[in-house]
Amino acid sequence: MMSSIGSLLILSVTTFFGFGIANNYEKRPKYLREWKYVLSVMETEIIHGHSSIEHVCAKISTQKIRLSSFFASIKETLLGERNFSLVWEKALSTHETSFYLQEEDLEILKQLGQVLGKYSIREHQKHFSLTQHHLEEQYQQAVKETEQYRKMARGLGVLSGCLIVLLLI
Amino acid sequence: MLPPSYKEEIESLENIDEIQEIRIRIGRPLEVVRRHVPLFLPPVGTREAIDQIVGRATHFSVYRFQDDIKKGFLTVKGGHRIGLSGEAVATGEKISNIEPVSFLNIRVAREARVRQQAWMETLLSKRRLLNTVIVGPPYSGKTTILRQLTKWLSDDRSAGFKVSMIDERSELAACYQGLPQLDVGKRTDVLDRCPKSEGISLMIRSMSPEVIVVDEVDGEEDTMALKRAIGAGVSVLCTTHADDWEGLEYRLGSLFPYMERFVFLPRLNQNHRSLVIYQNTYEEVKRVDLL
Repeated sequence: MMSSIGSLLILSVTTFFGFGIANNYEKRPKYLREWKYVLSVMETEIIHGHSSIEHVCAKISTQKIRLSSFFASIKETLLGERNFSLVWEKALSTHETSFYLQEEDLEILKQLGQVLGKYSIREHQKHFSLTQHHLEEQYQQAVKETEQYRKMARGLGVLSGCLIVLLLI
Repeated sequence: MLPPSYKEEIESLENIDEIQEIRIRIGRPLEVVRRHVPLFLPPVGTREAIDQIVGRATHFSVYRFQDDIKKGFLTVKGGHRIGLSGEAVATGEKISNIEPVSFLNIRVAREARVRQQAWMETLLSKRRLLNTVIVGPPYSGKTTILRQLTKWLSDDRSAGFKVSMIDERSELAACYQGLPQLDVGKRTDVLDRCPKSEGISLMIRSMSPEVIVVDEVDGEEDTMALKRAIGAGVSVLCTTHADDWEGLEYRLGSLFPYMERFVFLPRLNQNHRSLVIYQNTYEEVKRVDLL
């Protein structure tokens, strides 16, 4: 009786871990998709609305999305700062663990922070489309990886549980 | 707006309220001008410092101020003006941008310098403002006098005039998000950052003004628009850069004969301390001591 409860427990734990890892794989494309959405909002506000960076950040921070806290922190710290790209970079490094993004994804966002607000509308248009293009590539790659590893992680979770149970019996 | 090292140096000076200009040049010492006397301070201008000042002045949104940058200046909260110079990017015959900026001149907006206001009555006739131009070289305080006159016309009279101000460079009313930061009078409506020629027509159509106020008239478009305003029965109050009558006639062109009062301001220095009002027959109407 005890051994079957123990086996069930081990199996549940490894399955839970497997599903947890699979879930993490799913988060990256979700965040990348959300960044793409946020970029399109920024582009519209800046290119067509000529809104200030401060206003754009304030607007996005009120939306019910995962990235709202990132833009809220920028909005709050911007007032006393002298360099926007530093504020952006600092906010990225504070939030990077909760974004589930890879180093290359973060690098694209850092580069965007270095040009935001510094140039003309036309230059911004170019930078937004370039960033969207890079993020799309990263997104497609992330979707592929997710498809590839999600099932594997789930399967490995269940199978490793079974293996441990078998070895213990 | 200024980097901390610059701020500390400037704040350690005596009589900081007399500062007229703060000039920053890459690789050269910080220059502070008080009463036309330059003073050089230790911090050397850097690209980073200039980028930071421009960033703060534009709220990190340079694209919103592109039209101003093309013209070589930015106006910040409080009515102060930042002159820009560096590498001009030209598209055809016109400047499309200044990038990178390597020289900054922060012109501090000054308080009114005129002690008494009785002279302003000489600009009125039968409850109407005579078409008036304030004339002077750069740094003579034209904009300050114009602002003071506008406030007086709008406020201080029993009924006050309905005044429409077209503030192309945001220097007169120093609007921030559409609201004047400087007092330009209770009956004054401000059209901020609009080209003068278009703004004059728009305000005449929409706000039925008795007086149109514009700064720095230059070029045929401006003078034609002001002539249209005079033709519509609206009084004109404006400023222009000139040192003498010849320069003034050149600046105003065909508008010159329509002007009825000319307020000549001297360059700010110790030797000249009075403004002179002339009427259109070149006769002196009044001479006023300045502070």
